[in-house]
Amino acid sequence: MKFISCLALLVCTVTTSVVYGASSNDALQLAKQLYDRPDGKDRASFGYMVLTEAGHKPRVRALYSYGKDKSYYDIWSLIRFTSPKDIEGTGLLTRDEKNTDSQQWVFLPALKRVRKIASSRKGGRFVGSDLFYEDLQNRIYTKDNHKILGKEVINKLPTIILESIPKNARDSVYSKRLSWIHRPSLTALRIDYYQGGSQPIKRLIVNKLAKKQGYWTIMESVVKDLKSGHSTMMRIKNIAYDQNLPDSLFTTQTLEDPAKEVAFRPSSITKK
Amino acid sequence: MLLIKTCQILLGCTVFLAGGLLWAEVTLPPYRVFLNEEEALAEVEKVRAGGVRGHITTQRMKRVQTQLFIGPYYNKRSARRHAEKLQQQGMPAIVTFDFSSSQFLIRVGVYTDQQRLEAYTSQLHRLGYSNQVQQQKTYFQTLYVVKLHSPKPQTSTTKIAGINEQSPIDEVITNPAEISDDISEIATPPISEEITQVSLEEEKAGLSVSPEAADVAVAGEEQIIIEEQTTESALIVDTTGEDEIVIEGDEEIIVNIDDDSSDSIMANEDSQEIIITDELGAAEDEVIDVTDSDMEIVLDQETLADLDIEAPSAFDPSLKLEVSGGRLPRSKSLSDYYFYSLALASLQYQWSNQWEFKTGLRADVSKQEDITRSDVTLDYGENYIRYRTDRYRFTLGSQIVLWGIADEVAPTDQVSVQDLTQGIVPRWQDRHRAYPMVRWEYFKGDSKWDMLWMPWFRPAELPDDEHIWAVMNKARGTVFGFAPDPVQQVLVQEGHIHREKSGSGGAGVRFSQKAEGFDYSLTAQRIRRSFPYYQLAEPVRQSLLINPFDPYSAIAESEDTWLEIHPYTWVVGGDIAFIYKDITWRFEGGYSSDRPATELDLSVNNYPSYDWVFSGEFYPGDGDDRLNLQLVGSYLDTDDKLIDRKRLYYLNGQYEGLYANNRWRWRMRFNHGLNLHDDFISSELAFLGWEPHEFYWAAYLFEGSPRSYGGYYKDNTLVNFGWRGEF
Repeated sequence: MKFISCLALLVCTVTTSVVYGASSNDALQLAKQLYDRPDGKDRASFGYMVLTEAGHKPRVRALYSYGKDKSYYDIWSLIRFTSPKDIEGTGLLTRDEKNTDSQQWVFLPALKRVRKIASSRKGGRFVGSDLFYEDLQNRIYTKDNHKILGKEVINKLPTIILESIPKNARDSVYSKRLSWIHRPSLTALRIDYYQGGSQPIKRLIVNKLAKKQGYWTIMESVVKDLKSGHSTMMRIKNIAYDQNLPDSLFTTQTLEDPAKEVAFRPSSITKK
Repeated sequence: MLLIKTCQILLGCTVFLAGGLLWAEVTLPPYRVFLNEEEALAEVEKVRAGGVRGHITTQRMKRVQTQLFIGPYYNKRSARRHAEKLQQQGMPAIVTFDFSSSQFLIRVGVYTDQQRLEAYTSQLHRLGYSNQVQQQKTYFQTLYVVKLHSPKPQTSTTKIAGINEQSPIDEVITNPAEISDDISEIATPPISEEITQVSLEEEKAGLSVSPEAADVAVAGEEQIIIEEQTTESALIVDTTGEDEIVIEGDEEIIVNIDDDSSDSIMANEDSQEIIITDELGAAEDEVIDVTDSDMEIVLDQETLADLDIEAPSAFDPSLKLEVSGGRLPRSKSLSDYYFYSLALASLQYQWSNQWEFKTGLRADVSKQEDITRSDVTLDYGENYIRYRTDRYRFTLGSQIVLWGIADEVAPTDQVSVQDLTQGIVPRWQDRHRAYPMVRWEYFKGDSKWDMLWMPWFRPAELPDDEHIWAVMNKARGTVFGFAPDPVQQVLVQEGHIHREKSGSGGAGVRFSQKAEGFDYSLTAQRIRRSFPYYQLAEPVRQSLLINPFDPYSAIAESEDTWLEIHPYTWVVGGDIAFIYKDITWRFEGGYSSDRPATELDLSVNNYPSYDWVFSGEFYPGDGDDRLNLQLVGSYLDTDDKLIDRKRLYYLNGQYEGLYANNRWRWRMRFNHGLNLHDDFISSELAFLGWEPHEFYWAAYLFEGSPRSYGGYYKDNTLVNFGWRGEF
């Protein structure tokens, strides 16, 4: 039975590939377009995550998130949690840089210290969510081999199925990713994550897309652990692009001083 | 005659034509609106069979539905009983759980029809349920509009601008009229989910909307209907006949599918409704760059309702509570049971980007079996006022400042006040008290200067002298760091301790830098350590030198037997952290000019000392577990014969693992002496699944030689249960 399922999957995969007839160059171009999708020079948002699991009370984490593109490869980001109380003020500063390994610092209010942490960490679950640390990093498309498997309609939106396999298996916690890419918005409406087997272990579904200030933005998505059923819903309440966020926001000084960060929050994202 | 015949023919033709037109108007309304795609497709097939062309557009309407609840009920059984009772009355009662209140509710239907809602509300009243709650939810509903005329060439097409050149969606047919963005409803009788099913079953024809009557109110969000018009379009047509998608956004854009008939959905700005009308049509060749507008695609209407989570305000109150109780199983323990509670309240207020204020207060309560009274202490927490600019930050008041990067024993962390009231049972970061100080921090890029001045010295917070965690324990007559001795026992139990609290705490400066690939810092301090050192008063010492076995005479020589001292010392040190092989390596070292130690003649002198910690932190298996291992060393640089240990080497560490989707946490800490038998291990298993509460079971095991930490607290081996929460 399992063999038949695998065979069916294989046939479908081959068939769709043949039908689509896309070259690997097309796939690479699509992956590049996805990486290059316009998202402003900088962005600031306020939102929350809801961690749910059958039979358990959901857990909610609210957070501010800031990002800034210093260059094509150099991307800085800062995440600050505002609730619940036990993680309030916790911050994560990441600097993705081309020439050096990414640098990452965490601020734990209870510790009152900024700690340098290994950005090579990929597999840990971020604050108990279904997001791995790798999911938070800015993975450049050249790290994967890409292939277009075909087309599919998701919720009435046409998508292209893109398979991405890491060139270096040690470079990613995933063995494969299948992304259903909505071309007009250059957004993956669904991503299946694999860890070696033929079945995905995790799935991301985009529930709501919106164009804000001219940029397509995922306003709501759900990541579900297909094995345990645990899921993480992420929702952005407010977002603002191109606010000229200063470099000083992405420093360890601001990381260790949550109150200092308040000055950099665009008023539009703090509204109710 | 011919004229009469001609007139009759013309009249007949006119009547026929008028009749035909009238028939067409009556039997073929230009719109038929369906709630179901299959019905719409069937209608298209039907009209096409009749020689009339038709096609489908979809329209997504933002609607408001009201969920009617009764409750709350504090347990599910009670809620279920009432739900069954309502179901017997023919009401759609479903038990739900309200996460905001953690209580059960019974949902008695979802309504978009106000009359129906009122009818059910009245019925609930009659049944004696007055505890009703209504919740409104906005959602989108797709309507299938069948247009009964030949599709004409589109008049307004646009490429979706910008980001793709090979878009599967080739063309967008739009009419750029604007609609206000308030929520509105279909003016025809609103159809709830239940009603929809009934009407579909009974009528089998869907909802027919005439051009005049069909006031379709759409949420004031941008809305574009994208329709496949040509066979060349890359839009996928599936076997169900789906040929359209709808994109909705923040602003309304009126969509016109047909040009000349102009049957379109328009906005009536006054009524904030969209009205299906014949008049509107898109201007020819009008192009709308959709990238300039705010748009929205909702892919799943059944997602979780928006939670009431607001951005944090300038006021930030906080309350941390902890209650624990446990048993000390060792037979030589001073107490069989030990209880501890903590309440730590704080309020932080940031009234501008520059100014910030914080006030805090803590209360500690501990009780051990052998002491009849409870030990209750009140203490100030962090109470400061802070001013900041882009370049510097100035803080005045009591604060907790932790310098250095190592855990448990940071050689350069000499500017904080240690809290020893619970020994090392709390985690290292929780074993500090606020210290009154003036702090000035200067930032430049990734570097920072941090300067402190402690005008009033604050010694470590110690428990009572008879407390199980006392550093100088009168109940046992022991002093931390020294082997038990009969003379010493009398001196401790019968003597008096003079505590030195006066004077300044000193000052320090620290420079830290986040460099390329590594972080480092350098520090210089002239400070007084908060951890006490105990020295015999000089008359007592002289007496003991003359008669070493007569402690009572020695005690009689002086009002104070012991002096608790905190000598000034220079501390110069630094730390560095870097990543190598997926491990965060940290090294911290410090030189102290004056560390007190006791010579064989019981005199206390200050000696230079060196302290260092080398640690590696990593995540085994690249998972959720964290392990930090530290190698610790301390060396007193003197050739004098000392009672104190000159060299101390330890291996200590912490492990933290999260399990069952982070609902359980296991923490383990240990300390192992490398040149002296000295062991400590703690294990805490905590349930985190009911935030913000934590329930834990912990065990702390001490073992070692009498001069070691583990040996000194050997009888305090403890097993306890506790709860902590932060609100």
